Amino acid sequence: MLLKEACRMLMFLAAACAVPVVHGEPIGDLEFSGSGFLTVGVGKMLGGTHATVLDRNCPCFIADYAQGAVYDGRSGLQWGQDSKLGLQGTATLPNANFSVTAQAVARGAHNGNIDLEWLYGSYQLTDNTVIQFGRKRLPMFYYSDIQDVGFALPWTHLPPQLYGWEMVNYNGVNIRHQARWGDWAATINALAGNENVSDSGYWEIYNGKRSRTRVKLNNIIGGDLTLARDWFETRLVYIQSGTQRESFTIWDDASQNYLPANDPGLPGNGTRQNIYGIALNMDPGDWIFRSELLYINRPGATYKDYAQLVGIGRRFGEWQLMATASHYGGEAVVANGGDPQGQENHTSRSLTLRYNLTQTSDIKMQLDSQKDQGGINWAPRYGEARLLTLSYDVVF
Amino acid sequence: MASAADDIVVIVNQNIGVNKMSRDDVIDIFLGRSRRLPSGVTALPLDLPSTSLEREQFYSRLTGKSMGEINAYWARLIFSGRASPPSLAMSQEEAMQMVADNRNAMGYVAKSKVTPSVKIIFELQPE
Repeated sequence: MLLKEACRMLMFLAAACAVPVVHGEPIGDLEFSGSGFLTVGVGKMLGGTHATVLDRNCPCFIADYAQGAVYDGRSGLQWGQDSKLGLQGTATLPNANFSVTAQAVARGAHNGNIDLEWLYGSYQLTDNTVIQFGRKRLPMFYYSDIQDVGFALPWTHLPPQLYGWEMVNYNGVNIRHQARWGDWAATINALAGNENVSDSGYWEIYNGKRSRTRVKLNNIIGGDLTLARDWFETRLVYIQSGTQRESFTIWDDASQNYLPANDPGLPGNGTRQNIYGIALNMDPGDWIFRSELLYINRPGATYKDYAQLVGIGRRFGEWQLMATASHYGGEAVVANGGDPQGQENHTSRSLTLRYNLTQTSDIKMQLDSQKDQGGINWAPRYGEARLLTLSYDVVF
Repeated sequence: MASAADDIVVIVNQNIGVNKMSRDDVIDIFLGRSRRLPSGVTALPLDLPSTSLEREQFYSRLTGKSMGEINAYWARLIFSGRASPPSLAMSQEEAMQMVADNRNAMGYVAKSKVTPSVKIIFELQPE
């Protein structure tokens, strides 16, 4: 406990001493470099559907599914959901082409507790090819790698309808290669690994804040390809894995308590899943265009996932205005027992104003409007929500 | 310090074996998309300090983006472990010295500062 508090204090001291990105220092044959990021976010619920959903008082806006970050119906300002502090350090042995990188993040959504997000070794095979092994971010989405780095994002929080999944990291190995294909710069990444998550924030949103769930992804295999030319960038991703889920306790509306549960969502021995994604992003001149699609097929389960986002923005000097819409829709597989009227479906629209305070910091203001469009049998029904958030982001 | 009217030029070692680069090539090298020139030569890009006017002019003329936007772009690469940012030269004189001393180094300086110790392979004129 004392060590955790000391780490937390050190992280905040490091943030307070912020200086420009990436600092390096040689010690013997080792070179150390470090950097960090901080987001202080605050939100105010403006309105929506007033109801008790599971054990939450709503209106509720789900800002980050993976971390269980939910703005709820309490009056006043809410600080924890988007606030986070991260530190990343790399130790490099230049003569051996080898380095070790670790990233730790303290999140307001987890009451400031520190999570070791990444810990991986990198071996530079050639100038353009690197092999990495350890704990890394699962690269499902365009912004997966930097989902915690507010300064690198055009929003106060990622569009939750697309960026909402039960796990974000994996343990395994990947190999990445950079190449030039004609006028295009290409980055190819292939990965393999496994992941286990207990009591993830994602399932707390569906089963209650104190529900207990265990999720396993096994035999993860996949890859992504990024092609870039001047202001255009596209990214394709494919990942497959086995997936298993066990729910131990869930909130029960009838008894208003937590009860033991057997989750009916996936067969007892799990199922396969195939994840397909594409992003098309453009930054011509002062304009910004973001789009991303995700489709997940699970042949042995009762539902499939579809999610999309589209955003358009414009820069005016250091100001930036952006409008974004994101949508999630589940599709029932009736043949497997899925209920066509029990499908999850929701949309979120946002308007974001960003101002770059310095070369490494910004402030943002965002207005979100969330609409629940689920089937009549869908639960939990979070309903509608209108949320105002402000954030200060810095990298150091 | 360069005036806003100065050309910013990309410089390389006299022995690098490359005489010309396209705008896309320069963007790829300085935005971490590739470290290899079309000729196969590995490039080691150098940045000037973040307070340098030449650095701001270089990225603005090359990409149309402000330093805040460029830094947000680099934050994505740094925190994802996908690329390392260019090494830092503390002045234009040091950038030219590093390029003159290292066959693979590539920097940018105001054209008026260039000496015969380095070779110009790309020019960015005032907008």
